[in-house]
Formats: sequence, C-alpha cells, structure tokens
Amino acid sequence: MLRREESFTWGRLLWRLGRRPRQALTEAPERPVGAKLEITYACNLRCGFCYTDSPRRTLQRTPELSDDQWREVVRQSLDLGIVEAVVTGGEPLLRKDLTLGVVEALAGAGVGITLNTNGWFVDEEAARRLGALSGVTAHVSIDGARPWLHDTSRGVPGSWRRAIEGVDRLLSTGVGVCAVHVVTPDNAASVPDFLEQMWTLGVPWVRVTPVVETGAAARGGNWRISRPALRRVVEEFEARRGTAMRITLQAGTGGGVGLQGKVAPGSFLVRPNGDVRPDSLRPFTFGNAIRDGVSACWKAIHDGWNDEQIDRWAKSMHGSRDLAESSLVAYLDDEVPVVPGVTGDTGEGSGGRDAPVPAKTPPDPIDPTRDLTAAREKVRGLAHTRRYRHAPLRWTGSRGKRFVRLTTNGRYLQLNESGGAVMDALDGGTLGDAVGLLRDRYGLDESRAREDATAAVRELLGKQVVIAASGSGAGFPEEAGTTDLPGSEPTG
Amino acid sequence: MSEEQAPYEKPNVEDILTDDESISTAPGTTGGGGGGAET
Repeated sequence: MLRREESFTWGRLLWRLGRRPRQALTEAPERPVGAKLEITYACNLRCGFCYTDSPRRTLQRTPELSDDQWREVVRQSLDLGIVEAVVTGGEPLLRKDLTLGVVEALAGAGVGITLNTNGWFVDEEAARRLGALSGVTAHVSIDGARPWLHDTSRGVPGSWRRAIEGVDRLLSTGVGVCAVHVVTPDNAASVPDFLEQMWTLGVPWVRVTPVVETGAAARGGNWRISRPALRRVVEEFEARRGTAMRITLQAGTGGGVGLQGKVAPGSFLVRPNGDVRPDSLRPFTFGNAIRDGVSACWKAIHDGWNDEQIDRWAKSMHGSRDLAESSLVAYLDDEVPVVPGVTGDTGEGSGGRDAPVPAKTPPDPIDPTRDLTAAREKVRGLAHTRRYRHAPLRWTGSRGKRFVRLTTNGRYLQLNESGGAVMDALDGGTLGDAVGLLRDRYGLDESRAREDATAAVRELLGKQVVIAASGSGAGFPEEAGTTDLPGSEPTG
Repeated sequence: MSEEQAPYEKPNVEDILTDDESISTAPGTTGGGGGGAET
C-alpha cells in the first residue's frame, strides 16, 4: 500500500498544530533506539547526486576506522541497547567481510537491520550469509527501468545489470529486499516500467524517492520532480496490480529537519572515521566513537542538543531546498563540533564545495525501445528461474478447493483450483514452471499465463506458503520500519 | 483445455477460518466459548 511519508511543509504544519509527525519523539530517550553506521566513505559508483558525496571521498582516499574499531563501535552500540540499525556507506560491501560480520553481530542480538547497497558486490556468499539471518532488509538502489538510465545515473556502465542480479541473489536466499529508486527529471518517465519490472522480479518493497540535496547533489543540478505526478503513477500501478508490493513514496528531503524543537533525537550516526552525528542531515558532531566512546557521544547528543548553533541552523530550514543552499551543508562542508570536551576532530579534510566529481565514462546511448526490451527479458529470465519450496504446512481439500494450515504461524488459507496448481508447481519449481502449468492445463496464452502466475506467486510468497528454495525460511520482516529511524535517508 | 477441466479461474489465495467458521466453535461443539447454543 502506498505510504505517504510526511512532506516537509506538511510535517511543519502538523508540528505547529501539535500533531507531531510519526518520526518525531515526544521526549528524548535516555538510551538510543537506533544507530546508522557508515562503514566506509568509498563507493565503486559515481552518482552525481550522492548525498554522502562518496565519489569525492573515494578519490581522496579518506582514512576510516579499521575492522577492529568498527567491531568495537558495534559492541558499544549493542551495549547501549539499540534495537534498529542502518548499515551503509559509501558502498558498505566494498568492505564485505567487515560489513557481513557487523550485520551478523547485530542480527544475532535481535536488532532490525537495513543494509544499504548498490548490489554490485552481492555475490553468492553475501546472499547466503544474509539469507541465514532474521530481520535483515537489503535496500538496493535501482534508478530506472532501462540499463542506460541507471548506468548514466550511477555513472558506471554495467551497474544496472549488477544491481538486478544482486537483487535476484538476495531474493533467492530469502533476504527481504527493498528496491530504492532515486527519481530525477531524467528517469521519472520510466517509473511505471520500473514498478512493473520490480513486480515481475518479485521484489516485496519499493521505495521511490527524490534526490536528497546534500553532498554532491548540493553542488548543483536539476533534481526537482513533480511529487503529485509520481503519486499518480504509484496509484495507477496499485489500481492495476493491487497492493501486494509495498510502495513507499518518500519525501526524501529529510522531512522534519526544521522541526528540531527541543527534543533530542532517538538515534545516532557514526561516520566512517568514527565521528558521531545525530543523523544524515545535520552536519554537527558530538565526539568520536573511538576516542570518546559511543556512550559519551550519545550522552553528548542527549545533553547538548539545545545548542544555539544547531538551533540557528535548523531554524534557517524553511524548505527542502534550504538543505542545499545553506552555508553549512551536510557531507559537503566540514562538520561543526558542538560539545566542548567531546569535540570532533573530523580529520576528513575539506574543500567539498570545490572538489570536482569525475564521472566514469557513461555508456553510449542506445535505442530506448531495444534497451527496455532487453531489460524486461533480463528481469523475466531471472524471475522465471528462481526456485521455491513450500514453507512448513499441511493441506487438504478437494481438487477445486484446497485448505492450507501454515505450521509456522498457524494461519489458515483457502486456494482455488488454479491456486493449488501453482502451489504444487512451486514445490521445488519456479515461476516459469507455474507459467507453463497454467498455459498447458487451462489453455491460456503465454501473456495471460505469465500475468496470472506472477500474481499468484507473489500472493503465495506474501502469505508465506512458499519460500525461496535456498533460503533459511527466517523470513522477511513484515514491518521493516527502517524508514522510521531518524536519519535513515535513502542510500545514494 | 480438457473436457473434464473446470472453467479457468484466476489463482486465488485467501485467509479463511475466522473463529465463527472454525470447527472448534461450530454448532454441536461444547468447546470454543461463545459458539452459540447447540441445536
């Protein structure tokens, strides 16, 4: 179902009316709810709108925490009691062993995790390790229905194919996937085709977001899109396909950054060098996790929140564009240390505003129709060969009506004849097998068989009748809730 | 389509068996609290 997150203006209005946006806490928690861990500055892609300005950091080879230091940050964060974490970068899987170890440690402690990735380095091993965990959702960036759109957006040829294949590997091992589409004027027209592809691919959740105008995006460029038009696209898709694929239309600009008020945030962010900030949008540091300890940094945020310079900065945010036009822009300017005695010596180097961001050579434009056709065939090929198996269940009934009891959650389901036939086809089979069955048994044409089988497989997956054959069955978290973590803006 | 084959209906999967429909609360059942009088 379309979930409209609070827009900047609407959120401000609600705040003034005394109805706080869902993300806001009514009182500052003594212990943090969540942590956002930016494992690395580096990224293999060259997105012109990167909200963390990772391409510049990659070229500058900015020093970052060692593996042991990150493990210590995670240990201290768990000691503080966090229940939710965002593991991000840069591209966190550039430090694959560390990142997977961090995710495993957090998941093992029962923390809900969002892993932001561009999908390039999601190989069999990464998918298998993530699939063995519970409570992990991978947010994979895919910008458009055509490889050329995505590759030019992301600045590296081949990145669409790697992202799509990464998503397929994750789904094949039962990992919850959210496809994150950063919408720009260049790719906005392809959103309907993109939604169709994600539907075909079997992605359970799509997040559609405008560019967050910090970091590289704040240097300039035309990022503005029509949100009403985007909403209509989503509503038209849901009228056609239903709401089995969750779609989040995100404000994307950080929403209530100007709504700071007097309440400290419920979470914290650790930069790749260990500096601690409240979130992605506010460029103020409250110490360093290694030098000062995570607990001291958290206490500094909690106690030092009513700082005059933060308040002044927040009050200058009258609209989302102010994020980019401020004299102090997150990820572009040097962060400002706030609390005396727990000061952030960022060591990141500056010059963000003037640093060019060289793009890798974009691929040559190709015929859009041919590009889209090839993309559809690629997506269909992956979706139709992914193998499934039954979840733990019992069933009975006649040929025309089947009754199923899921032994893991006790739910009872009823399937009609063709639903039961698709269920049988997926006991070790694929969506392609289900298509063939509907076509041959009922005399459907190929197109209709694909449509109906794809919808049926999504229903059976959503109701947990079938699961990925290579998955552990740990399951996709029904309420990932990760966009509720203050500061968990979309991956760039 | 074979002759004995029922007319095609789009695959359907739905939740069933609310408490009212469960055999534990069906008429003639003493358990299941609130199932109504036996007839």
